[in-house]
Amino acid sequence: MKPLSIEGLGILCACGRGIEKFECALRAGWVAPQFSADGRPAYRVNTHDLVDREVLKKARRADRFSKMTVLAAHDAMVDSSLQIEEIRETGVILATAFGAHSAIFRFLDNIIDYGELNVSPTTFAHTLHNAAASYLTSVLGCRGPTLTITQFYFVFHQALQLAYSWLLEGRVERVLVGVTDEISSVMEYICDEKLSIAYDGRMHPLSCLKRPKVVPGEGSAFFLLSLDPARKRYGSICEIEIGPSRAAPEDVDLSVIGANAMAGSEKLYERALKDGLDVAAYTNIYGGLMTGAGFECVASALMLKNQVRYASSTFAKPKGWKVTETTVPEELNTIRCIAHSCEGELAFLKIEK
Amino acid sequence: MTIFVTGVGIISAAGKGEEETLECFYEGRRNAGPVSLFASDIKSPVYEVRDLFCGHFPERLRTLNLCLAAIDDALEGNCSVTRAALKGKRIGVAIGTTVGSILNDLDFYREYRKTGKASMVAVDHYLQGDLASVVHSFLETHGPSVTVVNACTSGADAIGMAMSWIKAGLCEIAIAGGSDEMNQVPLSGFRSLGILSDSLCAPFDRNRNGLNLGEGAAVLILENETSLRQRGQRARAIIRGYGSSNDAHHLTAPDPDGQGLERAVTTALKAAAIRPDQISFINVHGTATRDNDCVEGLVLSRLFGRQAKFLSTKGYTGHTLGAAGVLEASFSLLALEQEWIPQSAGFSEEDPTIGISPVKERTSIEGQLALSTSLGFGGCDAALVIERPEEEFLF
Amino acid sequence: MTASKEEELAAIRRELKELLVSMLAGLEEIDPADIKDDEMLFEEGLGLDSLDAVEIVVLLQRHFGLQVKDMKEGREIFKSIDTLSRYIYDNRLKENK
Repeated sequence: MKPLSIEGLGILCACGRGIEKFECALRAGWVAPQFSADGRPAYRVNTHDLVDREVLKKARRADRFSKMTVLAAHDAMVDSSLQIEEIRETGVILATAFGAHSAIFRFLDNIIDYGELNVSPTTFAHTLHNAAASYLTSVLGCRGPTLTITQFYFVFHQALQLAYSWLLEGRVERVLVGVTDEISSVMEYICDEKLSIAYDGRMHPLSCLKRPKVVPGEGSAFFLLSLDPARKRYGSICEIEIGPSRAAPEDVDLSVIGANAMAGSEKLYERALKDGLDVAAYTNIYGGLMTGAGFECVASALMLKNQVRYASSTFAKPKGWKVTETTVPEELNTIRCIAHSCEGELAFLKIEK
Repeated sequence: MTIFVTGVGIISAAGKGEEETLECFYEGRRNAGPVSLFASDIKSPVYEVRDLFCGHFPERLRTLNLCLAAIDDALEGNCSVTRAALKGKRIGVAIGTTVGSILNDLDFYREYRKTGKASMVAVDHYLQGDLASVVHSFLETHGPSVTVVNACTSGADAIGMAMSWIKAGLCEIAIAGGSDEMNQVPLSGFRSLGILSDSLCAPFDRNRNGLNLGEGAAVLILENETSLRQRGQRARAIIRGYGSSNDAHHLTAPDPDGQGLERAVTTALKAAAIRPDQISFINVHGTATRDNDCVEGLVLSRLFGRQAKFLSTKGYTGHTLGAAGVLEASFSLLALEQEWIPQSAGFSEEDPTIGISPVKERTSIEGQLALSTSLGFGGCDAALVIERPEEEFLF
Repeated sequence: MTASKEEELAAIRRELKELLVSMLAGLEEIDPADIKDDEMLFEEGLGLDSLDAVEIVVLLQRHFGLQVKDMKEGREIFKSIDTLSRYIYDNRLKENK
């Protein structure tokens, strides 16, 4: 494939808003999650990180999911220094696994509390997965093709493939591609029932556990992409592959695994990456998200730009890989991000400097 | 690259499959009635699918069952692609929906609210019910897989997505579909927005006062020429162009200037390399809300002049949300094959502020090209140009 | 106007301002007391839009038990706090008869 140049990045998660805050968390290697009153840990976005009167002027109704999306996308645009005319023609693809589910539950509250004849139309409008993208386009002034897509697994990869298709056919010259997923108390309860929660607040992404424990996360990450190598600022994405569990090629300087404890056994990372290879994992920064591949991609892009390998916190002896537990300068030319599904499929994203 | 349509599957209140649907259109029959699938005090007529076969999945997964019914219709009926031929192959699956991707089970949530706990049955159904993934499992295929959740343009956008995949070489065959069930959430939601009519909807009519909701599903099997030649089969149509745009205007209201829709239409026409006057008819979004029909009327007049032949089929199906774009592309394909379009059901008197009228009776069609437009919440606009090829595309 | 009618109207205006600020998204930073009685609610003034209009319809249903049957009628009623309060007062009276 032709390389997808990363022109700009924006990210908002529990570590805060912006690349610098994310880099700070990556350098530290582990960020403690917050604990709710009933003792459940989660990587929740702080409310104060969603306050921005200037950017959100045209999005006064935006709920949490929409605010995360708009702010991360806005930051990616600003980071890329795009001109206003270029922004107008930019395509937008928002990928999400669970969508704006807290809006759905608020709407169901309406039906239960007030009856179906007295529900709030604004709350209903927010139940649509594409409400966030609507705020994004209004705030940024993007009038190109705009899509919101969903899948439980590999939706970020599908978004990248679609963005690539659009650029290849000349539909647009640039695409703003991003992921957003949120936590709600209902989802935390469901996580508790369906998965295993790490009540000590520590995930073990590098231990390839059969029954890993999760600390749920939320947030949004956006990339401004094009096929123009002259505009790339963070390297380029040169491989997007989804397929059955297999050994990963050993043609990269570092592999970043998206072991997020949300897809069952993580043993297939052992099969994918043999002992002695350089491996990293960063889910202890932002938590378990089905769209975590977007965050792994941000971490990788930053490592390639800054020529540094961020610390991977382990808490337990990792498998026989080469893991650095502190942040060190390192010559890095290529990184592969690997994610898996509960059906044993693997997705690869290769990013080069 | 030419994108061929080799199969069509449709299910809506107008009928299951092409024959029933065409009969319904021919007779001008409107199969609407009060909502029967769940208890509701909402009086607006709805268009429900009767006697839906739910053999593949539990009944409560209605959007999924509708989708699979459309696929069965496509693969077992008129399509030159069979299930056996697809098994094990790499294909793309893009399905549009609104309701089908949401955990909106009231019983589950009520129980959770009351006790802080709830049975996981509804959650399991939700987690197993991702439309595109299920279609892949159902057909035992693999490849690009996306559920499009772009409100009411989801179906049209799914077609556009499948086309992009094929052009990029990610697959040679793709299933592009849309599916949505009759559900309490959109029914009460649309009513709260004040855009649901208490009577049968009247698209473009002077006295129109809102939409009726419907349910349904449709799929198109799309292929490139290589695949078609290899299989030695016949194509039914070509998707000549797809355009999409965003109004960047408002969460629920369309841009009154119609610039976004105009951009989507002109992009589709440009991709098809045709002039507006080459379009034989337009299947409009035509929901019968005051705003939508006004905007579409404005754009149609601007681009096609006041003599444009157009209709809304929502008077036969209701507004099927995520399914609408694919259902209406399918109806356009059928109309080109049959060489007639039905009357635009519900219309009787022109709105002087719009200044153009849809067809009032069954009308003959000449020519090879049709346009289908869709608009959606969030400022989404989409347009498709469908062609019935002159010569037999038999390879 | 009798004193009690004026008192009732004043009470409705106060309640309405509180409800608008709490129910309409994005107005949380406005002090209800700062909203003038004759201030235009839509376009200029508070700058509400069509989605707020239908939200106000729900507000009237939920909190005052009143239905707005026709949004054309709604346009006049929703002009300002004054016109909305009078509508509530007049129609509550009708409901109570």
